Amino acid sequence: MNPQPTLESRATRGKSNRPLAAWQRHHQQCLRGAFARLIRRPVGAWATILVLGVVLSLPALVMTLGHQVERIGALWMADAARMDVYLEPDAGADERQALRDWLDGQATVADQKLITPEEGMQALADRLQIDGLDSTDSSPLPYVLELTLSDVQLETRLTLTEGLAQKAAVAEVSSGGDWIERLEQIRAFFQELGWWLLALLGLTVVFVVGNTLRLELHERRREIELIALIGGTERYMLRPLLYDGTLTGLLGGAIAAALVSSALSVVSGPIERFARSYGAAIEPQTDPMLIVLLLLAGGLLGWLSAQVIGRFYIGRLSTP
Amino acid sequence: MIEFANVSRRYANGQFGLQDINFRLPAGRMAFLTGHSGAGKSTLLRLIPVLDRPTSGKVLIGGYDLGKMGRHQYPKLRRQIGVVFQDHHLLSDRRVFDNVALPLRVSGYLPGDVRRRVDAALDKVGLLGRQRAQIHELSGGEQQRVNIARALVNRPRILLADEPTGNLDPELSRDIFDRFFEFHAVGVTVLIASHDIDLLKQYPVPRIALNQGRISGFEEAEA
Repeated sequence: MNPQPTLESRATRGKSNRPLAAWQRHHQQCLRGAFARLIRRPVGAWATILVLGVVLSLPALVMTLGHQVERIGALWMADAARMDVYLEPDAGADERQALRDWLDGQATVADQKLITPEEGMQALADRLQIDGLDSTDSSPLPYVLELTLSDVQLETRLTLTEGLAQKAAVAEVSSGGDWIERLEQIRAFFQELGWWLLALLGLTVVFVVGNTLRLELHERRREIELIALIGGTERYMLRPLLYDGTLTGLLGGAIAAALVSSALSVVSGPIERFARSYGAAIEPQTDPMLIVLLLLAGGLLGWLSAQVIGRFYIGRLSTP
Repeated sequence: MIEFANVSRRYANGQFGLQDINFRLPAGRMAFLTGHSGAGKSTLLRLIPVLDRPTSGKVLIGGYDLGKMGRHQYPKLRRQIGVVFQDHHLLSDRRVFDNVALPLRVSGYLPGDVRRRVDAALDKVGLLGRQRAQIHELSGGEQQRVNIARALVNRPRILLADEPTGNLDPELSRDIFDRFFEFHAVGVTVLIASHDIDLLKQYPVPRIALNQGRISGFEEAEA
């Protein structure tokens, strides 16, 4: 005797004998329904999608700009790898040799070249195109050591500069890479700002999509209550919303990708000209990975909105 | 079997919708709930498919205490209960077929099975051939019959009806009640709430009278 019959045993009456096929069919219906609602209410649906597109494009634009700054910075990396060491005028040959020996022992120095005052004057004359400048009796220029660094990080340069400053033969150290580091910091700032914006505006996306879905739920309130009454599960009721939210998010991501591409095409001319002035060729293009990321972010945020809003409202409509 | 044991439902304002309700309706039996508007008939019916919960007491279906049921179990219970409302609760933007098919689709039936069962249900309520009609094209009586077809298409064990003939003329009301009788005859447990005593007296069915949320009397079926 079974004193407490279970509901499961009786519930089998109402089940399909091919649950997977029925489940697949409902997914197909929900997908078709999501597209149909876009067509049926084009103004409301596309207004939400456009807002999403603009919102998602902002962090993507900031990150893209950061990426362009990084590419421009790479143009000056060769400069960053060079360091000029000006020697004291009274530094003798022994002191110069001792300094060169010390530099040979530094792992961060890939190469060094000693420029004599005469060679320096010759180079200056060549650059300024002044005849006879190199024929003066004595050059006022100091000995210079041109260093090529194996590592262009600011910390490496600072360590080397501090080491050189302690040498009596060294008058001054000139490093052209300080502002490369600043550029790197600007790029890092853009990157960080982009992530912050993505988080903040991602939340906005959840609210925007969520509010649209809330209105949709309100319109379908009677249907949801009815489906709950006749035995629809929360998942069954939630599924159409998940498709609506994900589709809205995906389309918003596509709009964002289009906006970023358009913005990049506007700034591509100045960036190309700037790069050409350094003898480099930079052709700003939208990163395909960024497009994938925007689509994924849009779809994921849309799905998340539907989960949060749908579960909240459907739970309230279907349970006492 | 439907069993109410010391069931009360008290609202937030302190008023009782139901107070100390005790009755037992064996499986396959039929009963009427009678009483004036506001007597608690709808409140009582809403407790059976867990559209509402009692504030005290127990509601048992087939010996199963609904108070111990988790929300994930509600769908399983509700698929075994057909509910007919006074105001139809039909989806006005769908055709007759889609309205009746809804419980089957929710339960995961495939299109062929859905078609067969919907046709059979519509045939039982005399609406075969109206599958493609829009809801607004139907009369009040036809809409109520669609409502009944939808409640029965999933072959429920229990049929609940809340003022199913409230807006219908006497002839249509009798027609609707006759159909409930047919379903009761094949073993469905039927509980119908109605204030139309004249109509109810025409049927040999026990009556549970409600008054201000309390059971005011039981009347056995008249021969």
